[in-house]
Amino acid sequence: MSIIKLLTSSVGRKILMAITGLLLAFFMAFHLFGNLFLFVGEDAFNAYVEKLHQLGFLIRIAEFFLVLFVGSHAYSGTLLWIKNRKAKKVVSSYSKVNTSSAARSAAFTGSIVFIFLATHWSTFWYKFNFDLQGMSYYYVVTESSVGFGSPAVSIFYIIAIALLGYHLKHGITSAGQTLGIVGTKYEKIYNNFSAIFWFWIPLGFISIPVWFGFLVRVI
Amino acid sequence: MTEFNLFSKAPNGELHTKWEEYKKRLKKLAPEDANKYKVIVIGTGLAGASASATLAEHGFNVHAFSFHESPRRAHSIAAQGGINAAKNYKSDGDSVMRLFYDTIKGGDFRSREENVYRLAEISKNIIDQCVAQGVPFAREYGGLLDNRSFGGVQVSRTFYARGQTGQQLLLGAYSALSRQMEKKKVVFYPRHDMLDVVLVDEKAKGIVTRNLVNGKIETHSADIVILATGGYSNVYYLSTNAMASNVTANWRAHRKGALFANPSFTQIHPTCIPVKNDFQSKLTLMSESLRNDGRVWVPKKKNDQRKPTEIPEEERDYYLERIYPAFGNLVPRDVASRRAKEVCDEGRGIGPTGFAVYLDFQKAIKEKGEDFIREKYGNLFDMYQNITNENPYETPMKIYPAVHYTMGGLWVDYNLMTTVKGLFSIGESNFSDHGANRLGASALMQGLADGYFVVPHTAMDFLAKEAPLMKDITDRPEFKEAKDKTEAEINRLMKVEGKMAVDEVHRELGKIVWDKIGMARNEAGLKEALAEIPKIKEKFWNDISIPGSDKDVNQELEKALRVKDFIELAELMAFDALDRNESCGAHFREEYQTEENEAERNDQDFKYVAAWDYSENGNPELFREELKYSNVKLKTRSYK
Amino acid sequence: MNVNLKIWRQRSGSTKGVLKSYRLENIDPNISFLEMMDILNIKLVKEKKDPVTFDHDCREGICGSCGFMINGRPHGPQKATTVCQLHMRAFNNEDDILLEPFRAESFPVIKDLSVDRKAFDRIISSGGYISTNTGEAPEANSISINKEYADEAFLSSACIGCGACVAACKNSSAMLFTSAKVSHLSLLPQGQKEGKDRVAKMVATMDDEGFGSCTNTGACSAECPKEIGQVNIARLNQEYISSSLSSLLKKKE
Repeated sequence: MSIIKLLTSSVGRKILMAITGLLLAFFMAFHLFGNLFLFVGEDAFNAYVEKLHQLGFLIRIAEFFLVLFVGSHAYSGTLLWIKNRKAKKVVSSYSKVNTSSAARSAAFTGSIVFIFLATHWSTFWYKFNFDLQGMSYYYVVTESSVGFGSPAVSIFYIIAIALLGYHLKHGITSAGQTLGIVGTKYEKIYNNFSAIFWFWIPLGFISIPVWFGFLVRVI
Repeated sequence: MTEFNLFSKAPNGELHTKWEEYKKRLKKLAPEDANKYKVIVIGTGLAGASASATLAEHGFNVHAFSFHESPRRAHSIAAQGGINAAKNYKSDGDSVMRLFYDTIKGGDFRSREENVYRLAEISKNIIDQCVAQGVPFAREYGGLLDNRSFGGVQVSRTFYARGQTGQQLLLGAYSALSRQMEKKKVVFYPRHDMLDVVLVDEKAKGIVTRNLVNGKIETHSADIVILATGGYSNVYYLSTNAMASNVTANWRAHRKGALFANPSFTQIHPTCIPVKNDFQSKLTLMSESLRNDGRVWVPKKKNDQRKPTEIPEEERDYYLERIYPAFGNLVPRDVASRRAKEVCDEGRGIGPTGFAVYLDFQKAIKEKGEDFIREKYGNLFDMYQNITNENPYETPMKIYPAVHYTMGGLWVDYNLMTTVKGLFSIGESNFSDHGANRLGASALMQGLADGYFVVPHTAMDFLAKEAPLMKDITDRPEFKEAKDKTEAEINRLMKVEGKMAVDEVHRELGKIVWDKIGMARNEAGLKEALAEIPKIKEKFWNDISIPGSDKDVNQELEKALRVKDFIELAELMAFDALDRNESCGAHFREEYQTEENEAERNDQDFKYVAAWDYSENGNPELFREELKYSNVKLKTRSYK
Repeated sequence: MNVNLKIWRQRSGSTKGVLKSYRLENIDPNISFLEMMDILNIKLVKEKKDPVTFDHDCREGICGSCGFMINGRPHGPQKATTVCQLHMRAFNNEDDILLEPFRAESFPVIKDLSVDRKAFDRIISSGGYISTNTGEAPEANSISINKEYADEAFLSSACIGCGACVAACKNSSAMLFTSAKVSHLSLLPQGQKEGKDRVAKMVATMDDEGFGSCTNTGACSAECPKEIGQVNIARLNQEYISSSLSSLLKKKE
């Protein structure tokens, strides 16, 4: 059977989603590492972002792949969702007992995360690259109206990232299953690491709007 | 009336080379020649699926029919215990000769020597074949195949897959069949009931079927027809057979001239879950393998109402161990069943109805541990607990005999062909290998032997001598006539418009058959049955009601078509049991027993296969096939 | 006990169905669920009404014929139990019991609670076997198989093909069914040779038959009457990945 056919089957698409999903999860870890400079101080954060910008061409390639991963992850997910909808004759007729609600809601949480990413890029990413208007990177994040200067934005980020975590709770386990790790000797290690991605990293992200959006103003 | 000369066509020569020599002499067809022939197979259980797959591998175009939606639903799937084979993996002295002897002795010397030997011989190939197909038989820690022992024998030769051996073997045959379906060598017709065989120039050349989804009556032609339609235990209404298992295909063949052999040889399985109330729809078997570790007992006192765990050892009667010290709990099925009936009739039966005995695992649990028992019988124990709401690890199981298998069936010669040319019968549907009683783990063996290894050769030989039809001949008048008859019969059934459900009539029939033609029979009872069955027939034709349309799914109509034939069969069973003035195997005539209540066989007068010709006016004619034994000595079975 | 049934009635695949109510009184809690259905049907026949069509045969939980949704769950509330092995004691007096057919595009309704599951047969036909002709088999004990693998293969092969997994799944995916067969055969040395081809073909057929994809919700295993585990799906995926990789490598050669 041709590789194209193999990769466009329902299982092939899931494998694609698992791989792109895991790569995106790794990217999140890297992203969080940069974000934590916010807590070090204004200069440190600005310097870090500046350094990234100096990479120039390389960063564009990375961004290209990032968009490609998100795109193909979402595209495959959507195609499968349509197929699955068609396969079920009566949408409400299925068993909810002893199943993971994270898995059942993955398409929903994924869609919200997608909207969140679109917003995130059109604000932070766009401002950082083309529309600084003399503000520092640190200022954009912590004080501007597209950043955590706005309580609405902070709340939106907290909710969206929590949902992302929930999406990953399913995504990481699901990827383990899809990539055939379940049932092998690597299953245990994999499961032990999975919480880092669906719990600790999203918690790290959430700490930023919580701190800069609210706590810092109260204290 | 046609005269039948029942010649078995078994070849001459040495017993142990007979089949191999014979096979060499059978005519062969190269795949491209076989491709010119079409074969109809009815039933896709173990025998039908394996025959269909193998014939297709040889190049024949197979059209397989089943009333099920898929071959995997056939009742072969429910066989629990295992399959025998003379592999002698345990080095306990087993051999083909020994399996042959055990089977013929187990059948109380009422089966054909040559057939049984062939079966024992082929048993080895079956295991090879099944393992190659991926059947996950139980294995030892060393990785080799495991065996267990079964009733009626003293060696370990039963291969098993937990308590689901039938399922695994059927899935193996089903996979071979599926492979041929993918290659378009087999066309499968699901949800089709066969309602008639069509003869052209006295040869079976086709069938009439009813499509169970849209009610269409269809005709199909072919070069030969193979019946693999199982047994008729449901004539008793309550049996361990699946709800839809029926005799209809066989009965219709019988009406067209296929003699019906030994119809009264029906096996009562000793270890079933007892009947609990009037709504009971079927009985559930607990595998005979349980008797390896379970001990059968009843209280010594009559009407003992104590809990089993409160009855001390010395007040228990382990009656099988007492009467049969050598075989103990592992005596053959007929013996174990009859003894259970006996102690219950004495008033020592247990449970709310008094028709049950205990099967106790306490000793085995104490000696071998609960884990050992769980590993070996876990699914059976779970099943028991689910049905009865009692935990067999703590309290003994309650069991009682129930109808389970029918040794009788269409008469076939050594080639498995019935008295109708071109009409073969394989598996439980024929009468061939088990005589008056079948040994445990031999039904799967026979179904697969017939399907994989016998009928493909003998049918090929038959076809090689026949010119292929090469076309559909359903436009011939014989087909039209058969189709019209079938339609008329259905119309008649739909118009009865009485007040009873078919099941109710069936239950009444079952009670008569169980009481009078069941575990023990006598002349008076059989005559009563012969008087009562016609009344049931009358009731059926006057009182049943079939709502809905026959052009639709109509499960009531399906049942009616089956029960109609069961009623006619029941009558024949009574005739057969009445004719056989002896006790042998499962056929126990109370008039013929020893002082120790053992079966008293009469080889002088009854060493024959009773094959019956159909009669419309209730006077079936008997033809006899004398049985000849040149390799075994006829003995009185003793399991003491 | 008394029960109030609501049953999906549909004359054929081409007509519309409706829910109809029935009440049964004085039911013995020790009878099986299908015996309760028998009582209902005999009652309907006597009233000259069309009885409820449902598939069933062995009534021992092994043939896989029976199965419908009971209060939204395939085979009803009891774990690891087919409808035919379910008893009325699993319900309470005066319970409302809703019966519907398995709902999946690939399982069209035939009548009432009976659905057509031939799609499962076609999945098996496309590769769920070991290609060996009758009579060509080597001596059975010439291959020894690790007991652990043989036992695992048996557990996968215990699938009865009832379709509960598809009905339980919100995507009507047949992954558990397909993977059970793939696992069974790939765990045995006899089955490994065709493994890569088999998994690709069976998955392709599964897709063509219109089943949904697996989103790993685990509903199938939770409702499976034979407790076929999720590990089977992981094994199918492993096989599939290795099939894809080898197909990729072959291309390069």
